[in-house]
Amino acid sequence: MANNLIILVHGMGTYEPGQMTKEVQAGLDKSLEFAGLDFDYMQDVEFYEHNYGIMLDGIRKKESEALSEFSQLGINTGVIAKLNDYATNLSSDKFFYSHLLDVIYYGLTMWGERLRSNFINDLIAQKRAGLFQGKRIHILGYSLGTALINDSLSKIYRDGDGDDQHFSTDHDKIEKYWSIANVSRIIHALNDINGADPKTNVVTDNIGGCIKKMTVAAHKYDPFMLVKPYERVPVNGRFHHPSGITQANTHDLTGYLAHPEIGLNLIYDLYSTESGIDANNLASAIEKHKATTFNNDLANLQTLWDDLVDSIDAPIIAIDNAIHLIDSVKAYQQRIESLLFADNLVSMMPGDNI
Amino acid sequence: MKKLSHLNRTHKMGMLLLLLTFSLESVAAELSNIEIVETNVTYLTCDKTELNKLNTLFTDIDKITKEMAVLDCQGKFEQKNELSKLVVEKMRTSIMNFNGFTEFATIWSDYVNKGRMVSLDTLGEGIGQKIKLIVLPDILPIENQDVAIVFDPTEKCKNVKIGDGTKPFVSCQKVSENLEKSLDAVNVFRKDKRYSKIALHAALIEADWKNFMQDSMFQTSLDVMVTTWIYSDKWKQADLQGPPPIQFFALHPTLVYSYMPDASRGEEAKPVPAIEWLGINWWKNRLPLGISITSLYNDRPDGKEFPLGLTLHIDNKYSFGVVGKGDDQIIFFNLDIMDWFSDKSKKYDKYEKEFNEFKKGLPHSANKP
Repeated sequence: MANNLIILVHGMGTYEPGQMTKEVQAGLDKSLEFAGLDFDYMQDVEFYEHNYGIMLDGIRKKESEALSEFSQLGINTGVIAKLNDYATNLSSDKFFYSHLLDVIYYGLTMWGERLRSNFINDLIAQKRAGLFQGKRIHILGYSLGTALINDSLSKIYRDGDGDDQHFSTDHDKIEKYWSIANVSRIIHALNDINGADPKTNVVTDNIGGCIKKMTVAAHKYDPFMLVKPYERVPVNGRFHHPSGITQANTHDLTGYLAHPEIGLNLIYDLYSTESGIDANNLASAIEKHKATTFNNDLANLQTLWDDLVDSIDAPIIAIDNAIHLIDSVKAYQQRIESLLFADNLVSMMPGDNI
Repeated sequence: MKKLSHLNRTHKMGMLLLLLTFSLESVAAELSNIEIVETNVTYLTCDKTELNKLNTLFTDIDKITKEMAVLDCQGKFEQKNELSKLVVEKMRTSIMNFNGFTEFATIWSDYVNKGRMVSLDTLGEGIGQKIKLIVLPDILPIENQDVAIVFDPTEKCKNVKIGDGTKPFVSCQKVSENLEKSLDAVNVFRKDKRYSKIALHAALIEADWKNFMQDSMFQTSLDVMVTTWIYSDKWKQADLQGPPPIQFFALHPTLVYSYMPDASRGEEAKPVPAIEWLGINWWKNRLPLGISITSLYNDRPDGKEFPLGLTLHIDNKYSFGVVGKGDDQIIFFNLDIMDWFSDKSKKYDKYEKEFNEFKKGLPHSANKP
């Protein structure tokens, strides 16, 4: 029986069961490959997927179906016509609408609390089971998942001894939390939950925090790290700022974990030297990874990036902010895609989910 | 720090003595079996005797765990000042009897959870700058937290290699994790008792949400936005919240089956779209009730095109209402949109057939040519 249970919390979009596990494993495998190591990191690790996307999909689908069915009966006037157009759009540009709707549903509606309740209950169940099995409970959160984690932990933990409704930050800590592409600050700007500000809340590995060791990874050219980037520096863990570009989607989970600095350190966090990872093979892995990155015309890329940064105006209202962000991601990815073609680099690990 | 402030002078003196004891032991310790190798990572080797001592400590703690588990099961754990003291004393003895402790304390120092570290600055004289203390987990009542494991955080150490290195590495991290696991095991029953209360609270809220998802009326995104906005303070609360007790609706589209007694022949009964301009539904009531201001789209040659009226919702599922006045009056049954479309064609055909049969049976309808 594995001694480590890692709760995986995915990002925006639809995730099939097992998909996040595959994406995480693909990234970790790649990072080991860069180090020339063949270590079985699953020997003492078990993944548990918390899939809140199923719930959001259900909500999205229910509305989309209801409104589009409406028009199929020949009823297509006034408000209904507008709603019908909206419903049609839902299915015509899946990327845009599913991701935008996830942000809106989670950040701006009561569905956010519904998802937090579900996550908190899942977390409690895993922690209770882990008590008797002597398991260490870790969390790996990605993108929108980091916001769900941030808000949920803020609600269920209290500084000090806790009480009948809250875990204690002193006694009930999460062992390790790997926070990949943390968007909790931008989401907090939308939902404004008391005590959940990522700058000051309990989701930290500092004294008074609910994590023993927190690792944060934010790609320098990840567009989602542009608006209100997460900046709190872990005390016991690390803050990674990779900058190499291997694919159009710089927000890709597998891409993040394939970076040896992130993937290998994650494995080292769990197995230490048993993994065979040391400073030498880590350094050589980083070099090998660097060789796979897009490095032509970086000055031009920087200009494009600066354009993108400039294109994001100060948010007027919250929804505009979210729309701007997702629009920017699309535009930026298209730009990198064209540069990758020019550079004859094939996307290393393409991913659709962000 | 907060907890240490609860300690009285005697306890602090006790801690000071404990620290001094370890400091002296540290000076006198035999270091020949410790080899520090400077490579990319620092290794400390230690012999099997030391590890056996460590195992003894774990075994002792295991034993205490079992004793506490028995006490817990017997329900005596909560009453037990005397028993608690006994357990604490055993813990103290087992730690104090662990001769290799100073060396191992050094080994663990980099890896122990800093969240549990408490600086001893309160003791003054610069001791706190060098030596920190780890208070044992919540097995100990506040007044007994002077029982502590002392670590020296100034020492650097990354890994432990057993013996000549032919055996697999056992990392410092593993050792410290095992120790923590052992200490945590002491608290399993206590923690679970506490966790069960937290779980119950969260489970009640989750059950409420499940009921909401399952039982309440279907809401469009706009309805959800309006409901969210009306309860905006609720969602900003620092504590976990259940679903809204009342649902609100705005521009909510529905399909209704309408009946206009005075309509032209053949136009009396037909399905038409409707809009609930504003609505409210007490979905959690023993008998859930709701009401909406509604307009129908009336495409009959008779009456207004958009007659206004009211819809009454019952039991989160069944709705009916009336719009218009006098001869233009239309009554309607409003099926929840999702229920309707779950199997729409069959349901619709069946409903239409039943409705026509019902209509034929009405005296008003029967009198018509």
